[in-house]
Amino acid sequence: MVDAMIFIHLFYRILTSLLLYINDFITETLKEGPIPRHVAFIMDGNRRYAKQNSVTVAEGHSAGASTLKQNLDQCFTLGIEVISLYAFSLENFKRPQEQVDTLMRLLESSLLQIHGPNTFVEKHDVQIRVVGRLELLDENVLSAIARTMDATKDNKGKVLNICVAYTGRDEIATAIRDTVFGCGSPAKIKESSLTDNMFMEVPVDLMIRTSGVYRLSDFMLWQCHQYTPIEVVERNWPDFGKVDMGVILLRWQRRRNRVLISSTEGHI
Amino acid sequence: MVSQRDRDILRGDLRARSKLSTADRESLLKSYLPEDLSRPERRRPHKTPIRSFFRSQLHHFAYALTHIIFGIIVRLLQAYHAVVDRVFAIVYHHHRTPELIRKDVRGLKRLPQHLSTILTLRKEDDALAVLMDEVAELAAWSSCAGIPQLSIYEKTGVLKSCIPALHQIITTKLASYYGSPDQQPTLHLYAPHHPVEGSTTNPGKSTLTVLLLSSTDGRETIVDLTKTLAEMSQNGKLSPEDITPELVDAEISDITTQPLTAGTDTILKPEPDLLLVFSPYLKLDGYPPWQIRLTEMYCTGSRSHGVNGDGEAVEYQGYMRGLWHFAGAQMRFGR
Repeated sequence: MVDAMIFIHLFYRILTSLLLYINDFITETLKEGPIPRHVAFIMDGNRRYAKQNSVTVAEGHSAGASTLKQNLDQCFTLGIEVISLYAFSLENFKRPQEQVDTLMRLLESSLLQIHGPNTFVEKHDVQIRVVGRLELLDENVLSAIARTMDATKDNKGKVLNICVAYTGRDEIATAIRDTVFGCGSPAKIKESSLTDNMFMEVPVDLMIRTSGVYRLSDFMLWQCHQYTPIEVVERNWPDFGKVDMGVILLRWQRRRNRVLISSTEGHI
Repeated sequence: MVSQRDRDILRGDLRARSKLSTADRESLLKSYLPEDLSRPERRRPHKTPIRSFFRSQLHHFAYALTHIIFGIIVRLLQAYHAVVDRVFAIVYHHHRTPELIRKDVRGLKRLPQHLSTILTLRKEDDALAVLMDEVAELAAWSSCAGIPQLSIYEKTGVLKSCIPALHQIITTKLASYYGSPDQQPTLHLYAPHHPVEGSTTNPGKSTLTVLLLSSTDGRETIVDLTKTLAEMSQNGKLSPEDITPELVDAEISDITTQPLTAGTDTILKPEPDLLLVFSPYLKLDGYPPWQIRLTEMYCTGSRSHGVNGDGEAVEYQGYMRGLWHFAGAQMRFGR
C-alpha cells in the first residue's frame, strides 16, 4: 500500500516537472521570434463566466483575477515590456452599487497583494502604474494605489499599466487640456505633443479582448487606432489560457515576419 | 593617481591613530581599484558553451518548425473558408435587385443606422476606378437594405479629390439597381471641409448620405482642434478647465457634420454603429479614433486568419456577413 503511494507521488512529481519543462521549452521557442512590445487586454466576461458556471459575480471576478496573475507572469516571461489592463471604466460606475463595491474591494486587495516577495512583480522587476480619473475613487482604494505605485516606482524591468476610472475619450480630452495648459505658442503643437500627454505614450502592438465582443469599449483609442491588430477571443476572461495566448502570438509573429519579408523584397 | 585630498585624509588618519573605520578606508580606496574581475557570473556562460549552443539551436529549430506547421494549418483554414465564401457568394447574390437585398435583411433583429467601412486603395493602375466602383456598390446595397448613412474611410483621402465624379458614378450605379429615377433615393455625398454634392432633399423619397473620411480626419483633426483651443485660451476666450470630453465631442461632431447641416436638413449620427473592415485581419489603419469608441467592428477576412497586407475585395456576401454579425445572428447556407 505504501509502495503504491510512493509510486503515485513519484509519478506526480515527474509529470509536473515534465509539464514545467515543456512550458519552458515552448516559452523559449516563442522567444526566438519577434515579440510585441506593448500588449493591451480588455478582460471581458467575468460576469458571464459566473453565470455559466452558476457561481456568484464576486467569485467570477476573483477567478478572473487569478487568470490575470498567471497570464501576466507568462507574458512578462515571454519578453513583453509593457502590459496595459482595462480594470474599471468610467461607465462601470453606472453598474449597481453592490457590484462597484465588489470590484473596488477586489482591486484594493489585489493591489496590496500584487507586490512583495515571491510575486511576479518581484520576479520581473515590474513598475506598476495606475492611471485614470483617480480622484473619483474612495480613500481606501486610493491609499492602496499610492502604496503599490510607491513600492514599485524604482523598478526598471517591465511596466504594468492598470486603467481605473478610465475611458479613452477622457484620456484624449485630458491630453488636449494639458497640451493647452503647457504650450508656449499654439503653432508649435504637434501630434507628438498630444501623445506625450496621454496616460500611456507607447503605441499598442497587440490588443486582446475576450468573450467574443468586437468593440473597443472606449479603451486606448489614441494608442491603437493605427496599425494595432485587434484580436478577439470567444472565451470568457477566466477561461483565457496559455494556449490562446500562444496562438495569438504565433499569428502576430507570422504577420510580422510576412511584413518584414515583403518590405525587404520591395527594397530589392 | 590618488587625489591630494584623499591622500591627506588617509595620512591624517594614520597620524591620528586610525579614527576612520575599516569601511571608511575601503570606500576611500574603492574609486582607485580596477573593476571586479573575479565576479562568478561572468564565467558561468563559458562553462557549458556546447550545451547552451545546442539548446539555442534546438529552440531555433523548434521555432521554425512551429511556424511551418502553423503556416500549413493557416493555409488549410484559408482554403476551407475560401470555399465557404464562394458558396455564400453563389447563395447570396444581389442580382442588382433591391427586393432581393431587402429580403436578405428582413430577418435581422436590428440594422445599423450609420454604417462605416474601411477600404484600401490597391496598387494596380486602375485602383482608383476599382475603389470608386466599390464605393458605388456599397452605397447601392446600403440604400436597398435601408441603411440611411454610410461613411467610407480610405487612408490616403484620394476619394475626396474627385467628389463630383464619384457622385456621378454612384448615381449611375443606383440607376442600374432601381431603374427609373423617381424610385432612386436622394444622394448626399460629402467630406469634412467639403461642400455637399447632391440635390436638396425631396419629401417622400428616402435619402442616402455618404461621408468620405481619410486619415487626416483622425489625429490631424484632433491636433488642429487643440491648436484652436490653445489660441482661444491664450486670447482669454476659454479657460483650459472647460475642456471636457463633452466639449471635444461637440467640436469634433461639428466638423464631420457641418457641411451637411449647412446644405441640407438631414442629421448624421457621428458615431457609426457598425464598422466593416475589408481587410485580412482587424486593424483600424488610422480610422478617426474619437468616433469608434462603442462601434461594433467586423472584419470580412478575419475568419481565414489572413496575413497579407493588402485589402480584401468588397463582396456582397462579406457585406451581408457583417450585417448578420451586427444583428447577432449566424449566416446559414439556405436563404
